[in-house]
Amino acid sequence: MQLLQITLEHVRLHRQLNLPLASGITVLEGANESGKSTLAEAIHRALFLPARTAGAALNQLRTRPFEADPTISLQFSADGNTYQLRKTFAGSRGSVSLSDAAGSVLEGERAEERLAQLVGASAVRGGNLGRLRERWAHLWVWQGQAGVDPLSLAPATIDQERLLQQLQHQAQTIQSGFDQQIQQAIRQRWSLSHTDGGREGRAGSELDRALKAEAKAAENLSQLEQDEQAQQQAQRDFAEAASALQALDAQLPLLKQRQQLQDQQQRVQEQLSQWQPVLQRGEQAAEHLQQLRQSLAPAQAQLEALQQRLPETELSFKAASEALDQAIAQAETLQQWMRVLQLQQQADQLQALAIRSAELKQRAEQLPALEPADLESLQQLERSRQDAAVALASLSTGLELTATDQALLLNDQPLRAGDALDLDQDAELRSASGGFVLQIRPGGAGRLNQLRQTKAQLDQQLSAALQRWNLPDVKAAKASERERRELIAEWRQLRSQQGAIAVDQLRQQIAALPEPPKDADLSQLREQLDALVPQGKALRLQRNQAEADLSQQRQQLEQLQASCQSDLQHQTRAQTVLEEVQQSHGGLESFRQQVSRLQQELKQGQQQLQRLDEQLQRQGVHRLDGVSPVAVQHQRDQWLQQRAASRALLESQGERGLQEQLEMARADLEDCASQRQSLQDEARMLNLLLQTFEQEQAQLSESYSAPLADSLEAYLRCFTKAPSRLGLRFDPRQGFVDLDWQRDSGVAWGFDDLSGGTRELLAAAVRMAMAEVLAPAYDGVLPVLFDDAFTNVDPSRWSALNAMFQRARERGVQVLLLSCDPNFSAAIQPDVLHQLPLRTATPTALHRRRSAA
Amino acid sequence: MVRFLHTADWQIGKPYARVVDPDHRARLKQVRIAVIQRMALFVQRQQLDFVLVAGDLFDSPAPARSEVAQALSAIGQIPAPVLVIPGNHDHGGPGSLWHQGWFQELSADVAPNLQILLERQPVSLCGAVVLPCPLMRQTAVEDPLSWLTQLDTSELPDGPRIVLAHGSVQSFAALDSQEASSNQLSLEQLPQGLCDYIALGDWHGLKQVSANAWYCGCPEQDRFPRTADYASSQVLLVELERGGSPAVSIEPTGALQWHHITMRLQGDADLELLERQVQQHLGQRSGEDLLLLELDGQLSLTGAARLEAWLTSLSSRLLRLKHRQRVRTLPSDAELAPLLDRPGDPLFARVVSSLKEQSLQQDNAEESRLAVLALRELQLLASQEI
Repeated sequence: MQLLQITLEHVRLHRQLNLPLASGITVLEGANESGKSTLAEAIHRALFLPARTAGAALNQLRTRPFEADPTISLQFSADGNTYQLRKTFAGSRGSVSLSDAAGSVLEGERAEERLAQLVGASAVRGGNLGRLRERWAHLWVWQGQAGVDPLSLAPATIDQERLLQQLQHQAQTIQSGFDQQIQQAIRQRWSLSHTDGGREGRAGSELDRALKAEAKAAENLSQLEQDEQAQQQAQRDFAEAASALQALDAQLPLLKQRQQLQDQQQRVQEQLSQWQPVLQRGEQAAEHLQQLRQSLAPAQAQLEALQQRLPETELSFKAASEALDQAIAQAETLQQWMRVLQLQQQADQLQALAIRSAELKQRAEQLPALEPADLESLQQLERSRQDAAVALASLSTGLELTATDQALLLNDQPLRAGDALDLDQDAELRSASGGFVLQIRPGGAGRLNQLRQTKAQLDQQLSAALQRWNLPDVKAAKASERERRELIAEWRQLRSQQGAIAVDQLRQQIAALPEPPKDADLSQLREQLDALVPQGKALRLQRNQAEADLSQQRQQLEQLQASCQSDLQHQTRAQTVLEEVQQSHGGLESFRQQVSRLQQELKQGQQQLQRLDEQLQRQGVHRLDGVSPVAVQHQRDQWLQQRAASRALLESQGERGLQEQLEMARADLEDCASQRQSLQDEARMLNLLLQTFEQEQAQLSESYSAPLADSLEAYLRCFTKAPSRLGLRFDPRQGFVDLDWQRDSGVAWGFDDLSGGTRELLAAAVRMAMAEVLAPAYDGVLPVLFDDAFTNVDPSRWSALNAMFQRARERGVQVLLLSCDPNFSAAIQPDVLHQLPLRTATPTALHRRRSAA
Repeated sequence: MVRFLHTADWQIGKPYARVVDPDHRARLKQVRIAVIQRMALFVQRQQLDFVLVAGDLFDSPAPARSEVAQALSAIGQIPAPVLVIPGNHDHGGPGSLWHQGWFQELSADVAPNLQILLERQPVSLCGAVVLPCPLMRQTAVEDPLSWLTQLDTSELPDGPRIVLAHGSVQSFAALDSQEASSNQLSLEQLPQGLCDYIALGDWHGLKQVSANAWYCGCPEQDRFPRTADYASSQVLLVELERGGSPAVSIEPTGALQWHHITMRLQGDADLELLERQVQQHLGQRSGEDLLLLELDGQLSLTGAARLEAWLTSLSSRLLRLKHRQRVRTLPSDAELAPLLDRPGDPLFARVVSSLKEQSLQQDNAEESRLAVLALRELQLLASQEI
């Protein structure tokens, strides 16, 4: 298929563009935004976008602003014919026509279908832009996609199936049509039973249904088996309950009998336990009574004897007491008499003292009542007067008139010669004629006078005091005071001798006492009393002895009485006990027999119980603790319940015909399993077949990849003269894989490990090799378009790149190069060079296309 | 002297679940009713006193009512009392049909001659005494005969005594391994002279286990014979006097033919032999035979395909074909040669060669089997292409 000419009308920025395309290399050069990529897209859409597509795919084609519906016309040769394709993209109004050289025209869907046949790929419906760009992914290198390994793209997008056909065709011996047909048939059948991921039992497949049916049958069977188990359990439960009930029904009367017996035993036991202590007490009472009877008689005899002896002892005690009392009375009388005598003596003495005391008192009263303080005061006054007299004497001036011729008057008193006197006061000595006057002032002015006054005062005071006491002088006062003090002291002593006892009191006491005989004498009385003392002591001893005897006797008596009393009480009690026994049991002996009968009864009951227990043990009741007819009845009720429940279950299940269902379910499961097995066998057989086919195919894969690798290597030799080796492997599932390039015997680099420029070169080589291999299927030629695809390739490699294009051109590849770099286009030797925006000049044909041969 | 029919194990209501074809299933069930009708004619012809069914009259304690009804109607046609004890299949436990009101009503209506013996107590009948040993649960805890050891025989009337029991006899149980019954009967424990005949059921083949004890087998065979001497499809006519030996005669009653064929196929050629042998067994009949076919040996792909086709056509003539297949398929060189020798189809030839190798490997039987299947598939695909 060769593109001959492209015409755009109202496509984006191209209102009208018509470009003839060389059969070999066409270069379209233009600056950015000049519409190169629009052209690449326009050709692609003409081939793969249905004319009636709406939406984004349509909008992208329209001019801005919209002028008219975009129309793309493409002239191409294919299938030995030349076609004119014209598509007007207008959504639902879109139109397509495909006319051939013979003039036949196809329109609409038929045109699209025919076109799809010619280009080897169907149009992309629904305007899916992503899928649209995948069409001819091996031939159309969109801007920015140049570095992608075309072999890594999805097999369908790179026409892999046709590529394989071509490769097989060229290799000749790889796979026949029959091989393919069989493999395909197997794959088809395999895919019915397997998921895309290769898992057995695809959902909805027959095998899937069989597996599910088997699982369901198994579940059904399992359910029924559970029911069967439940039924068997119910049967066991029923049988168990029935046999337990039978056993219990046999046990129950025995147990009831046993219970009665036990109750009776218990009653007897209780009676016994009540009677036994009573009997014991009775026995003890009888025995005690016997003992008391033996011991009580002598005690009572002793008591009697003691009682008889008692008055005698009491009498002797009384006599001794009286003798003693008599002696004591006598002594008392003597003592009283002595007392009287003593009191009389005392009274006489007191009388004498009182007389003397009165005398003393009288004498004292006759003396001035001068107290020592008064005396001291008198003496003090006298000492003060003497001191004043001494002082006056010392200050007075002596005056002695030794001779006079005139009468002299001293203080108007005549002074005579020879008169000597002491002047102690101011005096005036004057002649009687008055011709002479002498003022005498002894002792200084006034001092003497003051002393004289003081002395006079003291004299007066002393004299007054003495006068008051009626005493002549202080000396007398002193003597009077001593005498009085002595008298008072003596009086006081007497008074103290008199004490508090008054004579009257004594007299009264004497009067109260018995009067002693007239001639009684104190000392005589004392002698009599002294003689009486030892006699009284002996009498007292006698009396005490008698008292002790009496007391002891009484104590013995009391003890004996108490003992007898107690014994008598015991005797009464024992008699009471025995009387009770007599009343209740007709006497002790009869009581003994009754108790013995009960014991016998108990023993027999025990034997009977033992026999019953043995019987019960034979019935399977081994542990009798806690087994009562009530408990057994309870057990019986439980067994009855179990029997009823299992019977109900069995009856309800009986309606179901479980056995039949089970057998059917088992058969069904077997059926399902065999069905599943057969389908599984088939699925596994198909899987084995498919695997074997693929394995064998992989073994043959070397033959697939070889022609493609050979072609590739030839392109790569344009770049390096050094030996290089290209690695490529074909995998039946993944397609061509493991592309690598080893240069100069160095390391083999995988595609992704190469530099950007080398990747672009290798990818271009792969695309051209693929186009070359595919070309025979497309009338010997296929276009490859590169839109700005070598931006990473170093300009030094451009000439090598050109050589590669030239090689491709020689081998039926139509090369379309879109570039914005004038230098790049200059480095390539195109057959036709267009420059955008388009000049009017006709493109130059630089090379001639190789001949069809 | 009494004359009676001893039968057992009718197993009415047996579902034949493994018979896939519903018509065949219906036929098998019908046959079991029909044999009762034949028994009725025989009883009439022979003027028998009564019929004893030694357990398992029904296949389960709760068979389908319709089948019970048919059986009861057929029993009603027997001109003599029919005495039945429950067996392990139709034991007399709670929930079993014997206790169901509808059963009692129906049997009173259509089979008044039927007596179900659920009690362990002697039954006097036509001058004979029947000592029934019914099974009241599927697996009895004690020997069903044990009550007889304590039986006070002084009260029994004169006349021949017959024990009617269901279960397996010690010495003999191991034979019937398919349906091991745990209802063990110890015949030896029975007091000497207690009875004159022991009518046993449970074993589906005919078997005399002592001078006076018999298993009568099924009146209509219901399983493939496992031994050459296995005899089924009969009833026993017993003539009995007190103190005498029983006179037992065997009356065949079956309508169906059960075959068991075993063959080792040494190669495709043996297939013809097999076909001839089966043909001899079947004669001209269709829909009256059941066949257990046990094959081993080996066949080629073609032989295996032929066997398969033949079995498919054979099964249409049989009420049941039970096929135990241990035949190994091994593609012959002659079969593989045209598959391998395809120079024009290299992939196909390589695949066949690889599968052939896999089919011959010994260590993985499953893989080898699948490889053979795959080869067969390829052979088929290749033949379709031609």
